Amino acid sequence: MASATPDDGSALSATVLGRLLVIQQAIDAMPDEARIAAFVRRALLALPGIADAYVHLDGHTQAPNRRMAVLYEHCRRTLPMAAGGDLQDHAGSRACFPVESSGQRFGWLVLLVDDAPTLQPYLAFLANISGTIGRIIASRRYQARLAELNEELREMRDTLEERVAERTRELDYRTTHDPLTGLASRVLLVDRLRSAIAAARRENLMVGVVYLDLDPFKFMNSGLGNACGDLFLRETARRLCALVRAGDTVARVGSDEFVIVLAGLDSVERSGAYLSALHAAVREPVKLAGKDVVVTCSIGACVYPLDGEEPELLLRRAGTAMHRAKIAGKDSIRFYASTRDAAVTERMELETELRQAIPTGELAVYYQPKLDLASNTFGGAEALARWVHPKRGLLPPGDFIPVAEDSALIVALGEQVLLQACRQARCWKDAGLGQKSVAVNIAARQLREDGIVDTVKQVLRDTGLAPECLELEVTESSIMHDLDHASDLLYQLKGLGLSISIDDFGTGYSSLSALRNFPCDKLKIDRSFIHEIETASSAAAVTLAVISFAKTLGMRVNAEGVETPGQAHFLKKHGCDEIQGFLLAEPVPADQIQALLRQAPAWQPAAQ
Amino acid sequence: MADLGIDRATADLPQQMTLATAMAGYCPGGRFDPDDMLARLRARYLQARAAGLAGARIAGETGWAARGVPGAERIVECESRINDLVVQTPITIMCQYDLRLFDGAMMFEVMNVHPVMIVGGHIIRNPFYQRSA
Repeated sequence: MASATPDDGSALSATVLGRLLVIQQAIDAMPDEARIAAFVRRALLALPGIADAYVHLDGHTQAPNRRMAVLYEHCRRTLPMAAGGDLQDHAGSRACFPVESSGQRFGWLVLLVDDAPTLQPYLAFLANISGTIGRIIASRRYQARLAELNEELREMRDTLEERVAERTRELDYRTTHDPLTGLASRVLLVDRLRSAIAAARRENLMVGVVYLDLDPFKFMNSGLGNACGDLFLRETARRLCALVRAGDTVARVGSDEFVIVLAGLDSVERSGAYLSALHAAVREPVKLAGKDVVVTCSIGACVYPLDGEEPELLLRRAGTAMHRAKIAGKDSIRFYASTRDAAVTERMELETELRQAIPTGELAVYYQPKLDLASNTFGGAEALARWVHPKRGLLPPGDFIPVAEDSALIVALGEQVLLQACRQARCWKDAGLGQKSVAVNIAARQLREDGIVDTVKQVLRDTGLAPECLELEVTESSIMHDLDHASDLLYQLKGLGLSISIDDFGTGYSSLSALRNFPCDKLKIDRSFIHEIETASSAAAVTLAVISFAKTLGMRVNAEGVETPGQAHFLKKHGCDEIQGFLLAEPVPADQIQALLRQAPAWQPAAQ
Repeated sequence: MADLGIDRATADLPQQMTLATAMAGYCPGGRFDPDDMLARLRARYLQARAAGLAGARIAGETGWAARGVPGAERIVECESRINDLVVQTPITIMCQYDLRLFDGAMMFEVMNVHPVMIVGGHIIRNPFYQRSA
């Protein structure tokens, strides 16, 4: 065994030195203090002169056996804590080495020595080992503390950032929103109005700016208290928001003042419908302190680009209009351009009245018979809606159907007419008139509703009318709007067994190619052509072309608006199947149609 | 492997390198048996030689021994007997111990039976190693 001689003349073994070196190197590889202690103890037992070893590291090592416990206690009690100095105690049968670093003690390396002279040369190396353990522990604890502090710092920074972000969001929200109602503030309102104007400019649409001021609001606050006043404002805000679309804006700009931006309007009349709804919503009673409180409002409105193009100008003008509404007696609506007031007001009134007319039975169905030119008998009749207005009398469709179509009332109206017409046609059969058909007009909006097929199915079921006695008339323009959807719908309706007619044919710029694939049974030539077939060769030419086209595709042809015998003769001569118009009969109420259908037609074609 | 310059596609024999899980390598039957282990190491070497190769090198992870696998208590015994095996069967074996899984005393026992070790990045003869008689 190789050896070396230290200064005191004792021999050093290379093997033992190698072992001490390995122990010193291996300490750093041990992941924790418990493993360090266990490894070092076990490794030291392989050194000559060491009978037993114990490495105590505060809080991390197991209790020693009894004899080592005694030695450890001795070391601990007799060797004081001191900065620097030689604290090692090597007294024959024991050797104690403190495990420490930078004045901090972590434990002890305690050896039971059974051959002191043999061990003596290695005491300095053993001291190195305890010192290495101390340094490694100190370093690791320092690193761990550093990691802890970094983590605390990171958490504090994250918390601070989150609080700053939250505070910023709060401040942003307070700047842009009314704290009581959550509605947009004036700042956000102007921004949104600017965006709506930009979008409308690109798409050639309009923007409505509505200024709504509650009428006796200050009175309410003084009478019922501010808490009730706040509740009322919140409820009003909720109602206004419920009426507008997702792209619109409702803002609170004063204690009892609101502004509504109606974006992307295609007509002024469209804004009128909203104004009416907003006005009605505010007027609905609100329950406060056990009482039903009714508050009216004054509304002023203006329209981009008709009344201005800048947000501030539009807001001022809407406010001006609102003040005019106040001066006029409050609880009213005024447009900035007063010329719009009358027309829009009338339209709004009509819509309100129509909404009530449908459920109260003011709608009546009139019938205009259709003459089959081949048999010279009435094959059925077309159902036409009339409104028996309590004040204005009998209103023709042209007076109220456009309002109904704008407001979606047309769906309910159309269903009413369909139901009444099917009932009537059933009565014709029951009255012995045979299989007379009834033709019912279907509006474009009804075609967009997915429930139309189920509605028709239900009506046929409820009335017991045979499907082949029902003819649905759809306008050429309504189906050309969305060919694929219309085609699908018409096929479903045809599947019920009824017939389909294309109304107002010739006016809708239709694709003849597309029409070839539609499940249509009949084309109805628009009255504008029939009116001029005797006087304008072009109208006659179009009529003939339509008849030829329909015949080629196996469809029947109806001509409406026939008013003269000359028109009727022309149509019969050129193969038209059916005619209707004042020449034969005006539309009559239900109680008169049966008699009419039994009669011979007023016009008879002359023998050819 | 490509980064290390080992191109398996050009290896002469497709099975010149194999990978297996530690359990499959050390305890194929779910139990560790030093006799079986040594027999497999010997067989692997003989297969390599029969295939015309110069020898075999094996590296294994021993973390399974800390999971209570039956027979794991005999791992040090096996390590010790490998030293005898390599005298007859010059196979190179490297055993990897994760110090976080084994206690310090166990690590000393393992170290004790290895004639060569890596300390501080250097390969040295293990001063604790004493060849059994």
